[in-house]
Amino acid sequence: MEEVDGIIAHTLRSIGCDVEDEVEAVAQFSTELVVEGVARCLRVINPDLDLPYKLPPSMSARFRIGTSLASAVQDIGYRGEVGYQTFLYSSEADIRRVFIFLIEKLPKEASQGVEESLGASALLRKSISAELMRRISLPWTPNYCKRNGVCWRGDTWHREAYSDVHSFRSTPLAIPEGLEDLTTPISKETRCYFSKHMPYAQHQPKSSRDVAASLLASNEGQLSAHHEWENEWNTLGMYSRLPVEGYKKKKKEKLLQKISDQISQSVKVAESSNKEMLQSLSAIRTAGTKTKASRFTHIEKLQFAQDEENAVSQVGTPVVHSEEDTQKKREEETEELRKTLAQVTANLDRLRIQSKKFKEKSILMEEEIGNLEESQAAMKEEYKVKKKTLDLLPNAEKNITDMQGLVEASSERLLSLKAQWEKRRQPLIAQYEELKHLAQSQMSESQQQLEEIQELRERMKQMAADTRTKEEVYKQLVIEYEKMAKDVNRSAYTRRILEIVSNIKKQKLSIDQVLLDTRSLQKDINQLTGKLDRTFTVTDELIFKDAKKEEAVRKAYKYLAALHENCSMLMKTVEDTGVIMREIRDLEDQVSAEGKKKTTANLEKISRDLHEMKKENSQLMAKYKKNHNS
Amino acid sequence: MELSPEVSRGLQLAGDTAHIPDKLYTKLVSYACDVLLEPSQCGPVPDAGADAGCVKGALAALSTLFLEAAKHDINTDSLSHTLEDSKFSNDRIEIFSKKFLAKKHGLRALLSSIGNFPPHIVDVDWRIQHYIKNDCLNRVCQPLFLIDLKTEKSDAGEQSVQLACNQEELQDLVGKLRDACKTLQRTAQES
Repeated sequence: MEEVDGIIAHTLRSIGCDVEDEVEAVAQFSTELVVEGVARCLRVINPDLDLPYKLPPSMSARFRIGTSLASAVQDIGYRGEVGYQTFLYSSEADIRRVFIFLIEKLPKEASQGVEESLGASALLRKSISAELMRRISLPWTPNYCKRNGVCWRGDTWHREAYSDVHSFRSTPLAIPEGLEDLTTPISKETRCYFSKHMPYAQHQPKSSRDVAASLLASNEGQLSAHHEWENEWNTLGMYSRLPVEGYKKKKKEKLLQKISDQISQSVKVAESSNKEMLQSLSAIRTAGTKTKASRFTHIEKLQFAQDEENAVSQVGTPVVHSEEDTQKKREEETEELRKTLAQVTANLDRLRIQSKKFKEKSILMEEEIGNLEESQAAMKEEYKVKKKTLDLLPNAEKNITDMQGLVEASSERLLSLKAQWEKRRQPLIAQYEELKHLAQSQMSESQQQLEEIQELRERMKQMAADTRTKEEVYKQLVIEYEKMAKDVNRSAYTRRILEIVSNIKKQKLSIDQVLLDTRSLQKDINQLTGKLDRTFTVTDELIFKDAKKEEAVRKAYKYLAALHENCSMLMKTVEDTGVIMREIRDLEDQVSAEGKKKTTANLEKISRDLHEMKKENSQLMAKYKKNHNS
Repeated sequence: MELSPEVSRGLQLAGDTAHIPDKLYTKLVSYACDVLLEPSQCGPVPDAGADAGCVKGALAALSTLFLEAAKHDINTDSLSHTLEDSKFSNDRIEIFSKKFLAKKHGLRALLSSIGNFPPHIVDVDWRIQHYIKNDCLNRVCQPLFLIDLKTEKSDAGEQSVQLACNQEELQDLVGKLRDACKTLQRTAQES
């Protein structure tokens, strides 16, 4: 009950009742507070109702208010018993019931809160409305009153004029690098340039308003280059098994190679196309002399003519000819020149072919020389051997035996050497095998590690993304939480509800237990009754048979009947006692409930109020009589 | 907010007492901010007591950090995290955060002035002409409304848009504008 009372007090405070802090239980509520609370609740539920919050001093007015409150409560749908006495002569339980009903009927503010926490879009919409509201409430200011087109209101601002706005224009910036680490080698000249001649980054853009754009662009550019490199290193660089510098060097070489290939290729293409063009030009030229010149050739001629004319004038021989003359002369000249050119090119081609032939020949010659030298060396060798054998010829016998001895000795040595070599070779081969194996295992291990690293990096990235999203969600939730009404009792309610639920579960269990017990008891009783009945009938029959013969048995039969009757009476009495006991308990409960209703106090109050009423009535009567008489 | 490795290295330079002494650091922080906001009034660069190359690197990094922080409107916590990563001492973080909080709105206003925007109406002039006759018609005798909208555009300054309309067209225009105002107010009151 304490929690319920606390909730009632809290709710009454929240709708504007003046409940003092120490009042926590419904039993402590005064009549005025009860009336005010009920009236305020009713006003909140139905704003059209016209109910006063304060009790008037006059008794009859009080009763009227009490009755109207009661009827209003019944109009909302309260099923229990309610009348003026419920409010004026309050009993704790009734008041609590009425308040619980009223508070349940109060419009839920919490439901609004639930709607608000729909997510980012709702928050955004709300912030848009708030910003629009703020701007609407601001007075209009003429354009020239704003500094740089920005309208400042304390800490908030918004842009209203756009004459000052300029587009994003960035300049590449030079910023000193590598100074923070003393180990990086920087040449003296670079250092001197950094400290003496390089302008400040903020002074590098031509216009000072491009400074911000340039700094942002430079950061963004460096950042994206860094990301790009990281990406490449993760995907390609790692598998190349090279250190960073090595990879970079290799990449640079590759790029240079590619560039030079491209250039040489395009040069070749250009050369061939040049040749083609020259050929086609000359073809046009020759065709032009035969057929009527097309417009194109005509223009070309004119251009060429002009060019040559310029050249001639630059040389400084201002000869005046008629146009036809000059043209003829020029054609002749060109023809001549072309002839000489053809000659020269033919010569050149011939020479080129010749030089090629010579080169080939020289290569052949060099090869021949090499061959000859080789054969010379072999012959020299042969000559030496032959000379030695010739020297040995004179005393052949002895020499032959010597030679044989030598041969044998050398063959023996060879054998021993072979054995030694085998001895050495075995462990070396074993070692080699081992090392090979080791290298292979290392290889596979490094592969595995690489894969692991890759995996870890992926996980890192994922984690970072996760954290980012989670942080965003957290921020949004914090904002939502701050915007939500701070209802202190919320957690207390939920805890209480959970407790109640667990209590109910426990109680249900015990009820089930009791039910089971009762059922088993009932079963026992039934069994016993059946047994008793059966025993009684059997005994009754037995004794009845004998009773006809003997007097004593007849007596015993009578006693049996009396015993049975008495026992059943006893049973009945016990049952009756049980019923009565239950009734007594009910009555006791009722008595305590009545006792709680403060009946005596209320009665006293009622009698006092009755006195007052009578007094008021007599006063009114006196007034009325006075008025009537006068 | 992300900073490139180059900028992070520049910040390390600014946070290192061996390169930038404390006294100079305070001056550099306010200079790095003021040179963005009031480039004409911030005087020469304070670089006494340190290598000029270091000052250049640190200053560029500090200005970039001011701009990036204002761009992303980050709170003081994440700002101090970033500075801690660059090995700033607590005093230096405090100095930077204080300056940033003081100038944040100014920096954001500065950044808001970069970009391309459609022309904005800043003023309206109007007049009625009573049209009596023209070359082809004698006695036309009709009113004609001339409206002159003064607009402002980025990089282009003031431009005026002139248009002529008759009464119905004018009323249509006014009605539509009124509609827009009402919708605006309704949206504002949703909160």
